[in-house]
Amino acid sequence: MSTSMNTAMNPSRALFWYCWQRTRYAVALQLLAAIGFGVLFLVYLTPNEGLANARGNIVILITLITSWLLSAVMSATLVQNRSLSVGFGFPLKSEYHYPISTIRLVTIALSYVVSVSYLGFLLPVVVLGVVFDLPFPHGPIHFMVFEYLLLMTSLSWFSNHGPESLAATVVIIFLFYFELIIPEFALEEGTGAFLPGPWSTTIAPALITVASVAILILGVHKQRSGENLVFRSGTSVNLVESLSTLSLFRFVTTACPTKSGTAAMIWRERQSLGLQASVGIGVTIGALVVLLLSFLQYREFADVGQYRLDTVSGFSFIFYCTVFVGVLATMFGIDFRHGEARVSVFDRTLPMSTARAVVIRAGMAFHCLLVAGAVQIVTIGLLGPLTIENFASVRAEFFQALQAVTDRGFAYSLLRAILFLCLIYIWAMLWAVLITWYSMKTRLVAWLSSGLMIYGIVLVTALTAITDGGQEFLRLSNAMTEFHSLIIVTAIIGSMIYLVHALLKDEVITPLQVTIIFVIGLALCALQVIDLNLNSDLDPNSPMLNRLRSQVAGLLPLTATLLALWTQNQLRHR
Amino acid sequence: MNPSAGNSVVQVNQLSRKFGKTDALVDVNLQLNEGIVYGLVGANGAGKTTLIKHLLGLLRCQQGSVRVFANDPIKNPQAALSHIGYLSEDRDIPDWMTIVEFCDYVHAFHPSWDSNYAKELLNTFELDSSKVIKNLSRGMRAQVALIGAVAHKPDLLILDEPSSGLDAIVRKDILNAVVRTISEEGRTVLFSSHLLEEVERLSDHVIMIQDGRVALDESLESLGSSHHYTELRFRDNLASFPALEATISTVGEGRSWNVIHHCSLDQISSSIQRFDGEVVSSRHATLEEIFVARVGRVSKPESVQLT
Repeated sequence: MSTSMNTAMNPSRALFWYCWQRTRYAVALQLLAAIGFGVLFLVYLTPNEGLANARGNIVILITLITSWLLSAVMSATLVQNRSLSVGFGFPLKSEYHYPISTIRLVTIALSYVVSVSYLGFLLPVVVLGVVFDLPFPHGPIHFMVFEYLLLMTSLSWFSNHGPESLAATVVIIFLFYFELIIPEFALEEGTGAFLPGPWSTTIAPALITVASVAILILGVHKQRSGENLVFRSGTSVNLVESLSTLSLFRFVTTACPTKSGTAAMIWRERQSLGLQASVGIGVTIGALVVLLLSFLQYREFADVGQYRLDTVSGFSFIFYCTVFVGVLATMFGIDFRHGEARVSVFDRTLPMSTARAVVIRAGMAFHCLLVAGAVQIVTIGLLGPLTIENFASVRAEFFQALQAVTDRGFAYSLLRAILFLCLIYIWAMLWAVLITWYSMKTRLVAWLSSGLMIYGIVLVTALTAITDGGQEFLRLSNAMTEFHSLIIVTAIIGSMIYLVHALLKDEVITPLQVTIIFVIGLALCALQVIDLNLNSDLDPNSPMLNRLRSQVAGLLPLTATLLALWTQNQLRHR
Repeated sequence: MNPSAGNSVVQVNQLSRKFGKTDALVDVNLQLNEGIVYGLVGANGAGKTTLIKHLLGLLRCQQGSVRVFANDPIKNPQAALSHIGYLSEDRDIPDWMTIVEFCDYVHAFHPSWDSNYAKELLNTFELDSSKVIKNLSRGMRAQVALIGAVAHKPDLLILDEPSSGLDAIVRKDILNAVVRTISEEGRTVLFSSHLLEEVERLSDHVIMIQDGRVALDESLESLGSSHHYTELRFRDNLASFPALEATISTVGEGRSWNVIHHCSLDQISSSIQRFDGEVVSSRHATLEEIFVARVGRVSKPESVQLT
């Protein structure tokens, strides 16, 4: 589609063009991600080709998840002024004043998001199906994907009024509970093949979906004139804002200390990531995990009495990851205004050293993650027995795993605890840096990620094509792993040299502080090497470069710290 | 060129900045001295905010250097910023705080915070300090941001479009009083504004930026006396106005022309005698006329030496 000013576009084409311009990078990235994850899964995780149906189902699941993510990302990207209502309400608010009917406006935006999201499902499934000879999904699964996308998009767009959106969500859960949204289907025993139920079971979901689209049009019509669908106007609440930790858990307010900037900054961070917020987050996600597990058990998705520790911890981990990302997304002080990520000028002009700001922010984020994680475990431990039938065995499994560590003595337990904290620290810092740069330099990071993804796909496909699988594939794959180990080792050491140089040049840290950071970092690296030796993870027969990579990984806490300081400095002084 | 009063608080040397291929600042040299109110003017996109961002260390110098109270705002932001009060154009303050929390928060970073002055301003603006900032109107938010910028009595107050969001009464009386209070205490103020009448009223010294370059850096007093608006009449019709070096802009046709020039009346008078012209009337040019003349897209004649 031409972008020339001379090309006359009708309103529909103009809206499609606008949607495409705003979302094309997100679409490309999600498609690549779906295909990339699918390839990695099929090549590395399911070498047994006998379970083609089961593998096909996993591919469908992967592409479904990315397709759903895609619809959410597109909705968020389309919102022009995110500070008005983040992700809720109809996204094309700035088009309200154009002479275009509500039905047309809604239809175009909805059909764009739904069809592109559906493409995000279909294209990876077809590509992976052709390359890996997997069964093509047919029947009601396509209906289900379309229906889900329509329903969820309508639900998130029909109102920008918090309580209205919340009420609609409750209704949807209610309908789901009574099997009025998902058509019947089953998984074949043994192969895990997807078995669709009769078409008649799609009638009720289809009617509900049509109704949801009608409600959406009505809701947007109301939004156009500043009203809500049910509630009176003037009581509009931003749901995301009201659900943010700041509003939810700020029930004990203390006065801001005025004696020092450091104390004031800690006070400020405590408002959103302090003890009360962390405990609140931990209890909430712990309760949600138990609720979900109980629901699955009740609906017999999971066999009654068969939960194991890995299932519970898997669900806990997924929920915890959302908190992880949520807490870290704003660690370096970014927020969104007028659709753009930015770092507040107010924060950037506070008379405080960059290093101190990083220490306070990272410290509070790390504290929040640890407390929330611990409280989540305790909450699951307390609520689990009330609703999960075999929770006693899950708990026993948990304590056994814990005992396996503590039985090896205090020193070993301490070592594992330190390394565990290091692991969380590394992930936290690296995620915070990644999310921050993705928000600030979306296009650049999208290109880099896409490049990496394409490299991985091409590499795996080429290896598969050259070797035709088997031992030869394994040998070449190991050689590539060694090569990549060399790149990783070089990258870690090289980036450390560059970061230290940049930080010293801008006087973010003093040479003495660099020395202290290095002493601590090297001590942690030594602990990592000790741990590798204690667990015999440094197999003398494994390639030298792979062993070196494992040992150099011990420098990651140091690298992550330097990277965090550098990132904050770059954000402050462009 | 540089004001002589007081010590230098800001020193900008040969500062250049590009955004992509666009020159945002080109070889800017500036000195801001103690106790003077500087008005920073320029068309949209001229480079005013870019210059301010360099003073605050929000942008890194690509070429040249910036020193604020002898500190590099990149290498030592804490030292540089502790002297500065800054009101950003978009009134960017943490909106989840209450007004009192915001004041306490800024107070913590500035030991020189004057609580009585802050209270006085809160009363003047009739602000309820228990209110959450995000629930305030745009104007009230601007007032809170202004309190945060001035209540610690900064050595250098930087106001980026301070009038934006303030109603006429606040703009005229309060802003005037605030800026005057700061400058009378021997502190420096730099404010950018589109409202030239306001700049003329408040500032002692004008810095005009045009296409990233400093087009004018002069005290208001000398600016007024050096720039004239003169009405000329010629014996014959002129197809175009003759090119004179000190003429900044010309408007007219035929025999009657109005010019803005930065030379003495005698000089312009003797120059136009060569073209059978005479001065009809002359007065000091207003800042707005000077601004439009310098920044407006009026085609300028090629210059010739004045006789």
